[in-house]
Amino acid sequence: MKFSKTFLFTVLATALFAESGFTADGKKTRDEQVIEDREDLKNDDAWIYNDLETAKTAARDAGKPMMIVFRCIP
Amino acid sequence: MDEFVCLRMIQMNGVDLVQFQFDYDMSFAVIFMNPDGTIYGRYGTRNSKPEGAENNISIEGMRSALEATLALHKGYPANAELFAAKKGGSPSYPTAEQYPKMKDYTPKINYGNQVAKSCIHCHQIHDAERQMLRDAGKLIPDEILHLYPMPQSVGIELDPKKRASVSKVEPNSPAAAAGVKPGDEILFAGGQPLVSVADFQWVLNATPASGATIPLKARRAGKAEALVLSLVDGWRKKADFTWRVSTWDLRRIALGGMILLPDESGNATPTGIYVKNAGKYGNHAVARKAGARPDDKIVEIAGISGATTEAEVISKILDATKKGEPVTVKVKRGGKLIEYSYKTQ
Repeated sequence: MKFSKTFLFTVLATALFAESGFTADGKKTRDEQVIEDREDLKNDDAWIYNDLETAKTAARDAGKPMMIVFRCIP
Repeated sequence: MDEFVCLRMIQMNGVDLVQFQFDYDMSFAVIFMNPDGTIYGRYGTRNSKPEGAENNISIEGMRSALEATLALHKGYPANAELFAAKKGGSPSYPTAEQYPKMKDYTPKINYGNQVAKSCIHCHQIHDAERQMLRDAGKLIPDEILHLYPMPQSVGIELDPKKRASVSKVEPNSPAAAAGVKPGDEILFAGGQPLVSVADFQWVLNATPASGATIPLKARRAGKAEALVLSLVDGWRKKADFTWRVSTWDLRRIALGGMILLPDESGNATPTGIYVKNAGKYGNHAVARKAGARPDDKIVEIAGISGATTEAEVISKILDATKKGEPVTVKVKRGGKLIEYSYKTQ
């Protein structure tokens, strides 16, 4: 089974950047970054944003496990 | 990607703490779960400052965790008994905002204009748990202070690139005594399948500070090895927790807001630590108001006058001192011996 490097890197990239204090745009407030992050994920078919019940339904219907990532914008 | 349903959670407001238990000091944590709530495993760990994060997580490690999870999922529900202990016990409160310290938070984030202020950070749960004990006049037990011990606590270094594979064994450690060897792939600990380092930490976290034995099943050169890790009273104290974000609040509680670091000046006192900083605001200024100043060289603190670390000092204070009880500090400052006392919180 293969997981694309892009997918894996996406999951880990914000963790590593955040660990070093990096933010995507140093000029934006944290509130703005969180809202921008939410908008980005709304347009991303790979991720469900902050909605456990929707994720559970999707996983149940598809017979798949869930990968639940707890990650905020630091 | 297609083999998982991926969910991103950005806050702890409203999150079911019965179901979602992990090291809340992580800024990145993953739980692999069946939609019926059965937890297959966890991923995400660190034991150092930001520049060390890549030593604890990796793309290769994430890949191996995903692959291991899919294998467990494939065997579910026939293998369901393997996962019983991956769910934690009952938390003090079912959701974070129900803790007394967080009663001003709500179950949902305010996306209007109060996003950051309304968001409960993961580490606040650790903070709230400790404050609840302090407010009840209780000591903070090692199981709550020395959280999610790293494998190094028992003498093992695990390769962050490969599930729970041993890269190093410390001589004269519990791991060495158990017969663990570099190269061993620890597949099970405490009867639970491991998909990552975080899973091994989960098992250690469930182990009492008074000690216990942990059965291990490892693969060594293609063969199965059954080992037993024996931990004795005090084993949890070996973990240095001062890198954790929740240590900021522990410094308020136990040190009156001081930060203590190793004194590398060349003329350190026998304790070997000094006051790097003493907080200036609110409840973090308690030690400063009592007389603490940056660069104070610690001669004695809470009865400790020999070589020590900030973690040991905090641990000793929280082992012995209830809320409101004093801590006495003796320091050298400008060649003079000065003494002050502050109350713990």
